[in-house]
Amino acid sequence: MNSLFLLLNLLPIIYLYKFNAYAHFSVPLGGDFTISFTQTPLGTFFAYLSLISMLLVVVAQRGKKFTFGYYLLQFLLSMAMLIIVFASNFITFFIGWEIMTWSSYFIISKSEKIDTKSLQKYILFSLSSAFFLLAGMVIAYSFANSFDFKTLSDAFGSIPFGIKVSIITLLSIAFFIKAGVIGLHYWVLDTYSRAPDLFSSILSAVMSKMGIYGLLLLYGNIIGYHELKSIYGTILNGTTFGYIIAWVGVITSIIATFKAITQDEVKRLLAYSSIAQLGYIIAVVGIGTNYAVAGALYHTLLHTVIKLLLFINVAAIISQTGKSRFSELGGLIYKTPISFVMLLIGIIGLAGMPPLGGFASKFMIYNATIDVKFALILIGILFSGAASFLYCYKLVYGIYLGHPTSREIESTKEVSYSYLIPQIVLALILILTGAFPGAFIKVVNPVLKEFSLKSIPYDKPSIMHSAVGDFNGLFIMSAFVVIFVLILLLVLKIKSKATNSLNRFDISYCGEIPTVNTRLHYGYGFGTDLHRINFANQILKRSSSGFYESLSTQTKKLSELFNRAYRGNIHNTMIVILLFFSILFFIGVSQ
Amino acid sequence: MIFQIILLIMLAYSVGFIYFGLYRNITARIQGRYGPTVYQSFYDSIKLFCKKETLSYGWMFYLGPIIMATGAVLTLILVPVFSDSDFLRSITSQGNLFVLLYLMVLGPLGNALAVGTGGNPFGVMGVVRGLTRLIGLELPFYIAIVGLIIAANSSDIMNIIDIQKTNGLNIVNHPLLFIASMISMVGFFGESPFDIPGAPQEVYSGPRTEFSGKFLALLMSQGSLFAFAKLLLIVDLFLGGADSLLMLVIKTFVIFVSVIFIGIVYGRYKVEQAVDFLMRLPTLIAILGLARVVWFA
Repeated sequence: MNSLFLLLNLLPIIYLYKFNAYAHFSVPLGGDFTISFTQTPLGTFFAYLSLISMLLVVVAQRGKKFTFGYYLLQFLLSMAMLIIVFASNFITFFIGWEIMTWSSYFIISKSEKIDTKSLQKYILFSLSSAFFLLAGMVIAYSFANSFDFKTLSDAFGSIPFGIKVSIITLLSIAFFIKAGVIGLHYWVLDTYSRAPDLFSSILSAVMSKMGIYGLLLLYGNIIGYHELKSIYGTILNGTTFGYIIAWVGVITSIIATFKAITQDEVKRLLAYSSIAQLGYIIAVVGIGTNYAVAGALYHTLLHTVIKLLLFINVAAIISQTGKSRFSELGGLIYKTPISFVMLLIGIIGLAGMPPLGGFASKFMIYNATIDVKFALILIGILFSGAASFLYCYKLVYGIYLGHPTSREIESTKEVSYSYLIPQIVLALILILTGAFPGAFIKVVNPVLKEFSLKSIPYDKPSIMHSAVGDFNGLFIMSAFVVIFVLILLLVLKIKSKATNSLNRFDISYCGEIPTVNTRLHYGYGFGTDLHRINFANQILKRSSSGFYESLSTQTKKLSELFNRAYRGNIHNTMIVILLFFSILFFIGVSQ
Repeated sequence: MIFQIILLIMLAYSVGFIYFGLYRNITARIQGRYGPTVYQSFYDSIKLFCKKETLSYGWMFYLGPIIMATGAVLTLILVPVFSDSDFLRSITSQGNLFVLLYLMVLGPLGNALAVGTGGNPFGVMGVVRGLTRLIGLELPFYIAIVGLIIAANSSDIMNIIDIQKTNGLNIVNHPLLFIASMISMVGFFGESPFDIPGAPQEVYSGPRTEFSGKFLALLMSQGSLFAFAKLLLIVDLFLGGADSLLMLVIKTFVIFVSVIFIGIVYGRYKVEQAVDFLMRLPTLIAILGLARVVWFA
């Protein structure tokens, strides 16, 4: 059954690769409603991204107990995302969005760890995202008389100012919910941490990217960055619109980074980290220069790769040990060495360290912000990057380093090959993108042409050009490897044989000898220091749950108010309804 | 080129160790002691290279110091040494400030992995304190760097040096950015008041607790290389680089001495106090400097 769905997931990739025709076809449904698809460079990029990610996840699912229904829903989800990225009008887009929501909802509901409240949260936020989308597209339709992206794009200039702003705001909020911008991220944590372990990787790596696709489609293709510039005006060297969206992204990434550090559950940390990384993308998605769009696309690719790698790794560890908290794990490095190396490569990418791909995409983002002189935005991104080292270290330390926290996990074996193969593929992608960062420019340039922006110069795959400096990935990587090997040889040459550690308690421990019961794993205390830092404490003590809980109580009170009108006898209700319609009538007459 | 790299590493190695010896001497004189000879750290490192280490915690424990040394050497060769000559120009032109900013953290993170493998909770505590301090420490430094990049409209260090030849030194043009980055530098050198992660006074605490023998020696040597690279970076960014060996030694020494003089007179902050402090006054100074660059340049 796994092989069948492996093949089913492989077919669209082969088809896309073979018939890269930028074709267009549509099916009329009557009236203004048509289902129509166009293959654009932007859509093709996201299609490959989601299809290959899905394929890797299906590889990881090999040999595990998954039902036919589960695979089918997952395939449906994959097809829904294809509908979204190739849709050429809002009707098709909306249908894809709804199929994506419902198929993922049913997959999440199959998890053992899920509870009703988290499920309700997920569906409520997904549906409100869909309603914002619906509201935006209906308002656009009422002015442009078409759901088609191209017609709407041509007619957008003549729409009144207030309507333009409300369309942009409504649609942006719809996509922000999917990407998990802070304030609208309330569903992300419970869903990511309680979904089936391997499905979390799809949620974080692929489905959140549909929000980014929506934003790029809206700003770049439907409205156009030039139009946004004329609507909102300019600030510094960029657009005011870009500046506002950039602050949304930066605040998201800073808050989520600090929250991530204090999490005890592994998947919750990854969920917050996912929000933070998408914050970087959102920070540049609105700026609208060629480097900004390239940075957004590049970081989309690399975040997908990194988060797939990390979530599959963590899923493997959770299935192997049965533990999912940092305070319950630890000391697995020599038990599961290959997994450790994979996670290490993943976090080097996540932290954005130079030899690997994670740096290349961040470099593009930095240069995009410098290019438009958004200095504070850049500092915000750099700052949250510096803070993210802490959660990266927590991730690798909490699971693999230090001491095992219980007897059970001391007998852990290396995870199965079906988990390791996708991780190795993803790690290779990370290494290759680190060595040849410029190769991606070839993918970006068609998209820039689609957005009618200037293309980025390209000469060698190893060099990435940017507005204020070049980055030679191959040089940095080879220099690193050469120096590393030389120092390693030098150290090995100096002969001094270490007495092997007899047991893991042979440590300098203030002159005492720790025992099995001594708590030696620092996973307990990691991140507690942050509460004593004023700035971090201000972030950590606040949460959006209070807002949403009060919203829910207020809604309940409001419904009780309505309920009161219906209670009692029927005459009162009839009078209320009559009064309501007569007021409506008078308002209608007076206009 | 390889000859030049070896020359540079030897220069940085010897200068770094002599500076460290001078640092110990100056500290001692201020505290009313005689202190060790200037070459004491050098002797220590040679001695440690010849000793065998006491314990082994597996391969990751060994790779940590090597990653850290790699990071230091890579940083060193990417920072331009002389402003006018072609010395290592083909290599330094490959790097830019963003790459350097991240390479400077790569080594400590690599070492953090080894410390974690060692399994000593005190070592990990030191690492966590160091990373927490980094949040505060990087903020004024990043703002200063971003200000310089915007002023020069380039992230290439050579361009920033060249612009200083025509427009005058950055220390004069952007004094606020210089002050802010010097405060950060005090922390980067592990001086008080920001020296708690390294825990120099305590025996059983700090990232180096478990290391011994050649790995401790490697950590010491990379420390002096890295210190020289950081001094070089500040000289390049704010003092217009150096055109001869003499100027290089004088300028780096002036920066070094001012950093230790700041460090010596202060007591030690706790980590949270350090971050709190760095997020207030130095950040404010840096932001004012940045505002000057963005709006009044």
